[in-house]
Amino acid sequence: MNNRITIDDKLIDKLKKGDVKSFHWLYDSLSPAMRLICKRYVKTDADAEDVFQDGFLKIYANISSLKCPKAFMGWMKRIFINTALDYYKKESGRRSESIDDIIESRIEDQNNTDDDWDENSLNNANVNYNAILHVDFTQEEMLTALNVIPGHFRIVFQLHVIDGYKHQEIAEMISINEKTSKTRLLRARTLLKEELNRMAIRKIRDGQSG
Amino acid sequence: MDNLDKHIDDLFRNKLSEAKMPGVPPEAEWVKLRKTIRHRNFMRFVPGTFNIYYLVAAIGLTAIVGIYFIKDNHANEERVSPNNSVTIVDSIPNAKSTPAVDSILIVRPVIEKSEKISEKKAIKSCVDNMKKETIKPQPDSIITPKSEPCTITKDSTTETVSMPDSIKPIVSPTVSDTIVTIDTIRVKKKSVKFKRKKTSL
Repeated sequence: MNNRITIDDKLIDKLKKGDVKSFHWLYDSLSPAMRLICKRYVKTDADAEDVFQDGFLKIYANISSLKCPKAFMGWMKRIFINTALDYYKKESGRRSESIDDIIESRIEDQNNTDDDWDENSLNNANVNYNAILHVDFTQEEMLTALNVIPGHFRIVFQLHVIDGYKHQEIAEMISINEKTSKTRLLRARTLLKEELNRMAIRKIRDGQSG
Repeated sequence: MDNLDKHIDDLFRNKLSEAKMPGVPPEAEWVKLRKTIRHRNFMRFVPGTFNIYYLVAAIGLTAIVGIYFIKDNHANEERVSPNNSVTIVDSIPNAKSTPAVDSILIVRPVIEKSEKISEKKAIKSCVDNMKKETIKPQPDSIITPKSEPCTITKDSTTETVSMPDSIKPIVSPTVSDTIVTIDTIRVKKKSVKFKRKKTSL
């Protein structure tokens, strides 16, 4: 990672004093990465923008509580993740998601949009997922695949696989037990595998036809 | 976890790692964020910058000072009204040599419009009292001519009461002043003596 940003003590001191220029620099340097975190945890771009702004303002408001400047990056990332999780909890409180409903609706969508798609392959344990290995997915496609699976699976998968949290930490963060976290991770992997395979097959097919 | 699962994990980790996100954030969004930051900065106490606490303190201080001055002015008004005293100073260059007082100089403090009428009345009554108290009745043959009315002339700061010659008081050298208090219409005299100048026909 050549473009790693170094945060020194001087900058942290300026940030603690509320120096707006330093925050502008921080915004320019780190906002793309932090925006991506927000984008991963919420579904729409507008929601991601809201979460990003909230997170950035939390950093501004709580920077004085940062004791170790070297831990700034981890601290900042954690703030954005927590803000995104709070947002998700708030949103999921409004609309209760049912995994079965989503899977059913997804199957229906697939049947309606892609006539060539073999419906039975979704439930087929012996399905060949090798197509995934031969296709190069873009960042946008990965985000799309993540957004297809239900939120509670997506969050556990991201926290564990992308952000590197242990199941015990995840359990504490989203108020579930450790076993539930592990189960959700397995389900998330299965759903993502299916989704990526579907995308890979489509891509290969489009490539052949093109 | 099989190889495919590991591959999927790596795929997500690499593609969605925050360090790999390209692009420069739009300036317009920073402007929006900066506004919010400044607002928050204004709302929290930072000693070096002007914030809501300083604003409230400034408003409070202004209000206190304003109230103090208003009260002070009110108190001044109250203080002036009971002591609406008018000091009448006799302008006597040479008491002995001058047989009569030419004029009475009235030095007065700030007097409100509404008090001017009563002041006039007070001066009149003062002059009347002075006439009554000091002018002893004389035989008709002596008092010639008949006493003329007092004339009051005034400019912006002083009022002068001119007395007719016939009733002009002869003031002894020790006479200094006469204090008239307007609100009580009380005349406080200090050994003012009025003597009728004998005139021979």
